Amino acid sequence: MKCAEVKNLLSPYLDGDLDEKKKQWIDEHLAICSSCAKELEELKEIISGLKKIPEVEPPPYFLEAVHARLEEPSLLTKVLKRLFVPVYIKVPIEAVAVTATVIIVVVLVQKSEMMRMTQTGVPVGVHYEPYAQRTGVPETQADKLAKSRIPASQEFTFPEIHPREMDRQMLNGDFQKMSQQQYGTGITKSMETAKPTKGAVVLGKKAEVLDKSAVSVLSGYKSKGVAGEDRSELAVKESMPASYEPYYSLAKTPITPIIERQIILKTRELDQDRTKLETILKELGITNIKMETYPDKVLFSFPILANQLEVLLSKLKDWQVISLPAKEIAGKEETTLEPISVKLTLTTTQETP
Amino acid sequence: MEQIEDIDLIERCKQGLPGAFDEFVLKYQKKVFNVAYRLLNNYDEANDIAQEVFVRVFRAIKGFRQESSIFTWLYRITVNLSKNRLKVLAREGRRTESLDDPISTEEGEIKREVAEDKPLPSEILEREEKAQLIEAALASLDDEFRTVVVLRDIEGLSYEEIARIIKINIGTVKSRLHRARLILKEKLKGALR
Repeated sequence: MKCAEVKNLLSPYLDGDLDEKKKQWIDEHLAICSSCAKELEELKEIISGLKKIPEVEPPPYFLEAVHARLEEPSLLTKVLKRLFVPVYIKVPIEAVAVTATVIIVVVLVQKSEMMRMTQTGVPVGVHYEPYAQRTGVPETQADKLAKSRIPASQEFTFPEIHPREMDRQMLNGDFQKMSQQQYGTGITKSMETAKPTKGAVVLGKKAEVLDKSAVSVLSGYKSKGVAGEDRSELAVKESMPASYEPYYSLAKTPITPIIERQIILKTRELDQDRTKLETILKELGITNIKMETYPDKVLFSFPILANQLEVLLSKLKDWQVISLPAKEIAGKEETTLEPISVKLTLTTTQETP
Repeated sequence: MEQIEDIDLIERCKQGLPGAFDEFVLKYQKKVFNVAYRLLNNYDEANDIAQEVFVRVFRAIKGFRQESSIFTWLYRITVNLSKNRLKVLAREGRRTESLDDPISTEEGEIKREVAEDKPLPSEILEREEKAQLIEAALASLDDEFRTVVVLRDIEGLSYEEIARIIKINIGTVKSRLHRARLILKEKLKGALR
């Protein structure tokens, strides 16, 4: 064999990719040709040098970063978010009058998976991104907003039915059944670490806590946890009673009631008081409670009827309550039959909002 | 190449069982990251791409059929994303090989030095310097050559696997690999002796 030929075959030779005959020829040639033998040695050294190139370590919290990316809204969501600039309407408590709230649901379509609602009136193509844009403004403004803000090209439809009706349908849990059928528990669980809505609009009259610290409660939290920790358990306590379960499948849909009441309770014993609260809520017959647990606070989100709310408020007097909806609102006639959405924070932080 | 545990893990990921995906990421993150790093020659870019790889995996795992190897799939996503990124960076006129990136060796990070064309006296070379030079030489290869070398000599994949990952035929793999090694040899001429 000639040197040129041999040199060309040295790579496969080293990789063991030559058939026996060729290999033998090369062996024989190498025995007598120092130039080719030298070439072989050089190649060997390079290959072994390459093999020895050390591995680099990925940065710490790589897993967390991946999760953060997964929760990032799609481009469509980002664009829509920019259209709906959060609006703060601070209304003095004395001037409160009950108004109907309209839910504007931004329905997003994701390429790979779309959830079709077969229930009447519920929008088609509901997206199950971890959080959705929710805006609610007094009815009169809502329509204007809807017309002005939402470009016709967006792929979603407005609900055909009255938003309140939609609330009720959602709250009665059929939703949950449907979504479970479609998705099983898989995506639900991974969505459990979903961030609450950023820049959530705090409704004027209904949300009493109107400053930044309350909103910071609503805006996201970083997925904490050490590598290996079961992340999906972060937001969900294993001891959570079964009645809480259904709500988690709801969590993957963007249609959730507007937060109409915000209550913040201070406590020094988070676990104790949390249990107390759970009991109170259950005693009142409140279901569909979503509970988010953080190191220094617990967030309860649940629908409640006006009369139930009254009872609840009276029971809460034992706690150091930072804020509380005014009595007048709780007792208003118009809201008796409509479920009110409550966000109740049980916190150990001592700052006053 | 795949063990029972791998198949089981993927099954669990497909079912969306809690913690399965996390386990998956932790298991493969170093590998994915390193492939991306050796292709992109930039730590931050590699971080970006590696994260994106797992995002893609998460979104597509349900449709993954276990007939093909999870490794092939992972490698392919990594290589494709890296290559795309390289193209974008080239278009923007940025060379990703920041040869200023310190090289990590067993002894810690050392500043990388570019291999010169002139052969260096072998007496002054130490092991770390040799390693540096090889890394630098690898980084300076053209993308196509670097890819096959990374997959073969660093990741240890077979010709067939490489052919499947990059979607070229085996003959091309062999010839490209051989040429790449020769180029490396030329770049490192005399420096390793």
